[in-house]
This record gives sequence, structure tokens and C-alpha cells, in this order.
Amino acid sequence: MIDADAARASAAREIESGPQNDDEHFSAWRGASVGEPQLVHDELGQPAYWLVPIENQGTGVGAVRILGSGRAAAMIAYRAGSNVLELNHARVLEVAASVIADEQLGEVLLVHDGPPGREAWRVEVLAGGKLQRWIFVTPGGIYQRSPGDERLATNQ
Amino acid sequence: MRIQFQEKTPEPVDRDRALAHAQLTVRRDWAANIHGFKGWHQAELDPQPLVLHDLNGAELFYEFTLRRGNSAVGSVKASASRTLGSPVIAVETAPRRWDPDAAARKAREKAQKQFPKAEIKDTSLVVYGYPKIGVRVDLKTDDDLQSVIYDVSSMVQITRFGPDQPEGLAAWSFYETIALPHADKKIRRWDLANRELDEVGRVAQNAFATAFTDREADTLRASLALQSQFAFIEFYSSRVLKYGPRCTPHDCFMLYAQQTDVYCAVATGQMILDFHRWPYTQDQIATAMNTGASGTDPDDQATGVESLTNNSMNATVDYTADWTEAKAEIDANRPLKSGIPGHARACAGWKRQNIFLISQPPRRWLQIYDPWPWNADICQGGGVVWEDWDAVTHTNFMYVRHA
Repeated sequence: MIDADAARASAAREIESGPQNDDEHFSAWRGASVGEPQLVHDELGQPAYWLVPIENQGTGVGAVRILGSGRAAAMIAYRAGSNVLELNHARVLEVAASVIADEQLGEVLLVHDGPPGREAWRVEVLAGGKLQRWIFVTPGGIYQRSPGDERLATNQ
Repeated sequence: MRIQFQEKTPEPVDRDRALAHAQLTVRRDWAANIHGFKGWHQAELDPQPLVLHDLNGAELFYEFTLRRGNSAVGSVKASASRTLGSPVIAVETAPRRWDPDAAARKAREKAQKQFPKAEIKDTSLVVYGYPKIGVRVDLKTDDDLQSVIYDVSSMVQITRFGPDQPEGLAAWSFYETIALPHADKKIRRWDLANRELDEVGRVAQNAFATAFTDREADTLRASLALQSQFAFIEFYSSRVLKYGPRCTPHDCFMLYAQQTDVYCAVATGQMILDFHRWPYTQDQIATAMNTGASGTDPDDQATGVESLTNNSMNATVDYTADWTEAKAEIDANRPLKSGIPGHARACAGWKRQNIFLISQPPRRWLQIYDPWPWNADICQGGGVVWEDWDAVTHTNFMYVRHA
């Protein structure tokens, strides 16, 4: 797995010469710069790939998905309500706390829930120290499910 | 974990021969003015390669380091076996980002800490899931032999095995998964490239000199560049969906977010149905597609589309998705559904690299309208994505065509 600096460099190259350059959906990428790469994890909590934010004048306008090999797998243009990286840990915990009762919140992790690209902040919900379920926080809202629920495996 | 295979390298390639192939590839990429190779005529390949092994223990690649002066500027992975087909698998135009000696030392330390009673017998570099490289540490406890693999950069232990594992830190054998199933064909390809190498050596012997001055390079370039029959080739070809593909067409596709976390196929259906002027809400589409708490079955998506269009549209699910099929649909000005494991998106464009490194396949992308992240307001959330076709696992397409 490449490190954050290499992911940032790879994303910077894509801004310059990626396939999105003549696409009007990506017009906000002109003159943009790369932000701090965020590691996205798989369901087991293992590092899966980097999501490198693309910023223009302080606003998140998109992201580049950089695989562990350094390959740029996807260039993503955001619109309102798309940017999962605009949620910070404190905000994620605040949102998750609003839907629990007598339980505790555990680890917060940026994951792809399902295939790469379905990013969400996953918050553990614990009772008596044991994992009960996960709360997934996205810019559009939250959803919850139990660990090991493979409902996304075949359906779409 | 127990991976004590020590397979012999099938159809092995001599290291000097591998070095010559590496040199020819670098020189040709330089001669063709490929981006990133400027000035590489002055670069020299270190004849002592790093030997990278397959998961099964056989030698897989010789990685030759390219140096300009005292600085490493890149590396070339040459095949250690004719069964790999291409004499050169990859050229890196940047220095290696990890140190082999440091990685081996850290892996030993980590293994010793993890298995304090074991004796470390050996370490080697292993391509555990191409292009990912790890350090394999062989351990002996009493009479028991076993191995562990740590990623060279993160030192995370690799614990998942098999090419069918999800993207991430899974290990699989390059030989068993990619090379050996088509070995005969690949050996023929390697032999052809080898004959070409002999021919280049005959007509331009100095192509294999260690490095050139600028003046020497000018005379050599003409003999190495591959000539195109076309006077001018665009760097990319591409196409996206158009409204009214005559006179003054404009790009025409609309992104909708999925309204719940399981409505990806529903929102994808909505994007495609809207394009064909069949406007429905996502709840109406979900009902027609028999969407449940776990999402939508691919075949039910097709049935739903057909019923919502009074069977004026045919929807066909293709479980052998291929980039050229997506291109054909877009060329016919029709959007399609692109399925990846557990997720559906709409596809509205394609792009392909026309000029690429001689030793590597051209890059191909799809323009994806991804309904994720979900949002109750379909005009927020989601994202438009240019996605590298070869970096993603594709499970199915759904074509929607007039009946």
C-alpha cells in the first residue's frame, strides 16, 4: 500500500492529465489542489484504498480514489450532499449519538460499505463492551445494520 | 498461516536476456516521446535486479532499477518466465517508494515479535497480489515450517487469500491466476518479442549500450521509434450521451441520488428511464423492481424497467460485462446500468487512451453516474465519476433498448 504522500502525488497528476479534463461536470477542478488523503477501509477494517479530496478555494469539489498500487481508479465530481469527507469525527459521533439510547459508541472508521465507492463513516455501537451493530453516517443521513449482515452481497 | 511452496520457475528467462528486454522497452518508450521518459536515454539499468517471487515461491519478476547518476529514477519489471507473455510487465517512471533492505529488516523484527518461539529461516520479496509486494518470512518451530507475509510499505500482515477476495490486502498467485491458464499462448507471445529483440540487436547494436549522450541519442531515436501510419493521433478518444445527436447536440444525462441506502438500482433505473422520457418516482420504480430491504435483484431490475415502459423498452442483463459492450451502447446513444458487487450505477460515457506505453495496455474509462452517497433529495448526493475500467470488478450490465 502506497503512503499518503504518494497518494497525494498520484491524485495531483490526475488533476493535470486525468480523463475528466474536458468534462463540464468537473469544471470546478480547474485550478484545484489536492487535500489530505483519507484511508478508506474494508468491512474487516483493513486499509483498502485512499480517497484524496480535491479542493478549490477551500471547498471540496471532488475526490480521487487511489488504489494501494498508486493507480487512480476513479475521479469523482461532488455536488451538494456528496462529500463524505466534509464530515469530521466529532460531527460523525454527534450524529451517531443522536440515535442511541443506553449504548456506547466505539470506533469510527471511514469504510466502503459494499464495493469501493460506497464510502460512509462507520461507527461501532457497543453494549457491555460488545459490538451490537454499526451506524453508517453519510452526508445524506444515517443507516444501521448488524455486523455480518451480507444483504449487499447479491442484490443491488 | 502456512505457505511453504517452493515451486520451480516455469519456462525460466535468463537474467541477461530479461535485462536486454528491459533496456529495449525503456529506449523505445523514450524514442516514442512517451510522457515521463524525457531524458531517459541517459538513464542506466542496474544489471543486478531485485528478484520478486510469486506467492507459490517461483521467481516471477526481475525488477531492474534505472539510475541517472547516483539517483534512482525508475524501475522495470521484466518477466522471469516465458509464461507471462510480455517480456516486460511494467515500467515505473518514479523511484521506488520503499527500501527492500529496510522492509526485510522490519518484517524480521515483526515476525520475531509475533512468533517469539520460531526461528527465522529466510526472507524473500513476494508479489502477493500484483502489483502489491510483501516480505515473506519463513519460520521454523520445532519441525513445523510456515511463512508469514507483510506488506512492504504498511507492514500489515496479509491474512486473506484467493483472487475472489474483495479489493484490499488479499493474496493470490500471479502464475496460477493469470499466467498458467493461458501459458501456451503467452509463451508464443514471449517468443515473438524475443525474436524482435534479436532483430533490433542486429540492426541497431548500440540500442543496448548502458546510456547515451544527447548526440548519440539523436541518431539512435529514428531506429527505435515505432512509426505510425497516421499523421496525427489524438491522445484520447471519448464519447458521452447526447441529446438530439444532430445539429447542435448537448451532453444529456442527469444524476439522481438514491433516496435510501438500498435504492442504488432504483435510482439507476430512474436515470435511465428519465433519459428515455419515462418519468417515475423512486418509490414507483422500487415497487416495479420488487426492491426489498436488501436491495434489488438484477433480473428484477430488468423486469421492472420493461413493465414501467409498457414493454416498449427491452431490458437485458449481461453477466459478462465488457468495456467494448459499454462503448457500443454509448456509441448508439443509449445509457446502460453498470453493476459492481452489491451496487448499481448508470453509465453515460467512455474514454480510451490512444497513445500508451508499448509494454502496457491502453487505459480505458467509463463515465459513471453513481447514485451514492444516498440522499432523500435526489438532486443532492451522488457523484459523476470517471472510473478506470481495469481497476474495478464488474459483475453485470443492463442494456435498455427500444423493443
